Amino acid sequence: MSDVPAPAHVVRATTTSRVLGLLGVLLVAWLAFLAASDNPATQTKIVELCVFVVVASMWNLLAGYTGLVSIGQQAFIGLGAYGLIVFGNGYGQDVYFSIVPAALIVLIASVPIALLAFRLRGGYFAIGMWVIAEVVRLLVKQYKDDPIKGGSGTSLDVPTDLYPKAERFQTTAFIALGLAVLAVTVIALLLRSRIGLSLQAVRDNEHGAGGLGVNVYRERFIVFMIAALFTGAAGAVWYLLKIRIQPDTAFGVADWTAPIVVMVVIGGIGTIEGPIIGAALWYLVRDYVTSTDSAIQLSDEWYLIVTGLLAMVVALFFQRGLWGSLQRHFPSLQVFPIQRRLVVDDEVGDHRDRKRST
Amino acid sequence: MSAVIEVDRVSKRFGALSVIDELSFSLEQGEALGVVGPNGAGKTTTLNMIAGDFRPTTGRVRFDGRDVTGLPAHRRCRIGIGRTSQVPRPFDGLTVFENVLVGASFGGAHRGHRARDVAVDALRRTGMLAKANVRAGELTLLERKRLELSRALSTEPKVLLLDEIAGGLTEGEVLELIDTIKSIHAAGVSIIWIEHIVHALLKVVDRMLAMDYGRKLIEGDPHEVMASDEVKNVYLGTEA
Ligand SMILES: Nc1ncnc2c1ncn2[C@@H]1O[C@H](COP(=O)(O)OP(=O)(O)OP(=O)(O)O)[C@@H](O)[C@H]1O
Ligand SMILES: [Mg+2]
Repeated sequence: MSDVPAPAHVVRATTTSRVLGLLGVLLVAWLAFLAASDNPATQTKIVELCVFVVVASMWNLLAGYTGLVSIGQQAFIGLGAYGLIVFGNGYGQDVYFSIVPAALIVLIASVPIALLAFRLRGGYFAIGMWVIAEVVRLLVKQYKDDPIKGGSGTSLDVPTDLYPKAERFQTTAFIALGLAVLAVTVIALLLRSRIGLSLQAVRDNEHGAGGLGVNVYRERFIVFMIAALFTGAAGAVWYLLKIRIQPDTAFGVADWTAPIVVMVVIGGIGTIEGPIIGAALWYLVRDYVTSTDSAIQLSDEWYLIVTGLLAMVVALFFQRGLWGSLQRHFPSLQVFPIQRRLVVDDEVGDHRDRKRST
Repeated sequence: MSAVIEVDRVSKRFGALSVIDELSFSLEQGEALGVVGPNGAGKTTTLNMIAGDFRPTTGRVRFDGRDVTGLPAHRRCRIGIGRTSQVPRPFDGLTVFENVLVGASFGGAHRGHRARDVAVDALRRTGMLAKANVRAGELTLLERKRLELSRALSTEPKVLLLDEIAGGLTEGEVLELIDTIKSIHAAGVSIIWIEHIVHALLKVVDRMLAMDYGRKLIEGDPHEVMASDEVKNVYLGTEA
C-alpha cells in the first residue's frame, strides 16, 4: 500500500502477567519441593493433580479453542496406559522410559481416529469420540494374551529390587510435575504463536476464521494430535503410580472425561488458567469431603454428581467459569502473556492507557 | 478487459428449495458492481458461493480465469477474494487489532512485523485504529460492521465482496463509508457490493445487477437499472 503506516509496536507481557507468572514459577518450585519429600501420600496427590492438569488442559485446548468437544479422551488415556504395559511388561523396557514410546504410539493412533471423527460435526463428533473410545476398550478386552490379559486387567511389572517403592513414587511425582509444566508451556507457546491466534479465532467464530484465510481443518488436526500425545503420556504416568490396570477404568468415561469436563467448565473453558484452577479446586475440595473429619461426607460417585451439577450451573450462568468471570472484571488479568496490545507511537490506540500513563 | 470473477450458470438448492437459478454474471478487473434485490432474492447466497462458504448445486465460479468452484473458503481468501458478512462474525475474545491480524497473517499470508503493519494499515483505512485494543465483544453493532470491513481489507483482497455494510448506519456514517469504499476501489480493488441503500451504491458502483427469486432481473448502467420497469415492479410496495 502507498501510505506508510505510522510506527507501531506490539506489547505482549503486562505487569500483571509478570507478577502472576512469577507466582506460577514459585508454585511449581513448591510442588517440586513436596515431590522431593519422602511422603508417598503427598507424592500421590501431586501425580493425580498433575495428570489431571495435563488432560484437562488438553481437553480445553480442543474444546475451548477449536470447538472440538470430545467425550472420548479416555481412548488416549487407555492407549497410553496400555502402551506403558506393552513396552514395560511386554518388551521389558525401563518403565520410566516406556512413557515415551507409549505416548508416540498414541500420537500415531490419533491420526486415523481424527480422520474418522472429523467427518462428524458438533454433538455427533462428541458421541463419535465416545464410541471410538468404547470400541478401543472392547478390542483391548478381547486381547486375552500377555501382556494385556483382557478384561481382568494386569499390573505393571515394577520389581522392588529394580524400582524401590519410595524412589518410584518420587520419580513419578517429578515426571508428572515435569509433564504438567511441559504441557502448559506448550499450550501457552502455541497460543502465543501465529497458530494460536487462529485457534482463538476458530474458538470465537469458525466461519469467520475460514473467511479470513484460516484452514480450520488443519489447525484442528494439529491440536487434536498434540492433545492425544499429552493425554497418552498422562495416562502412562498415572499407571506408573497406580500399577494395577483394567480396561474398564483406563477407558472409563466416568473415570476421565467426566471429571475433566467438570474441572474445565468450573475453572474456565477457553482460558489457559481455567483448567489448572479447575483441577486444583477439584482435588482440594475432594480431599476435604472424603476425609473422615469433615462435616460433609461424599463418596467419589456422589462427588462427581454434585460437582457435575455445579458445573452445569457455572456453564449456564458464568460462561467462562471462574477465571473467565474474573477476566471480565479485570480485563488485563492474564498469567500467560497471550494477548497482543498495539501501541501506535504517534496516535493513541487505547484511551484507557492514556489515562493511566498521564 | 478481463473478468476477475465469473459466475457461470450457478444454481443453488437447499433441499427442495431452489434459491439460485442458473445465475450468470461477471465482474471486470477494477470494476465496482452493485447488487440490489428484495429480501430473500439470493444475494447473500450468491456472495457465499463466490467466497466459498458453500458450493453451488450446479454451475462454476471462476476467479482470474481459474475455476475455484471446488476451493474451500480459506483458500479463496488466500488467492484474493475478501469478504464481509451481512451478520458480522467477530472474534469476540480477541481485540480489534488481533481480529485484523488474523486476516493479515492467514488471508494475507504475512508474518511478524509485516503482518502487524498490514493490520495497522487496514485499521487506519477504516477508521478503527482508535479501537485497536478493545475486545471485539465490546463493540457496538456499527463498530462490528466496520470491523468486518477492516478484517476483509487486512487479507489484501483483489476482489472485495461487501454484504449490506451500510445497513443501520446514520446518514453521516454512510457518507464516511462511501469515502472509504471509494478509496479502496481507487487503489485497484474490484468490488461487488450488495446494498439496500441505493443512493450509497449509486455513488460508488460502475454497474448494477438487480436480482429476484435467484435470477437476474436486469444488469447495466446503475441509474438505468434503478429506473427500469423490472426493478420498479419488484420494489412496488416496498421502499427502494
Ligand atoms: N442454509 C440455508 N438453508 C436453507 N435456506 C436458506 C439457507 N440460506 C439461505 N436460505 C434461503 O435462501 C433464500 C435467499 O437467502 P439470501 O440470504 O441469499 O437472501 P438475500 O438476498 O441476501 O436477502 P436479504 O436482503 O434479506 O439479505 C431465502 O429464502 C433464505 O431463507
Ligand atoms: Mg443477504
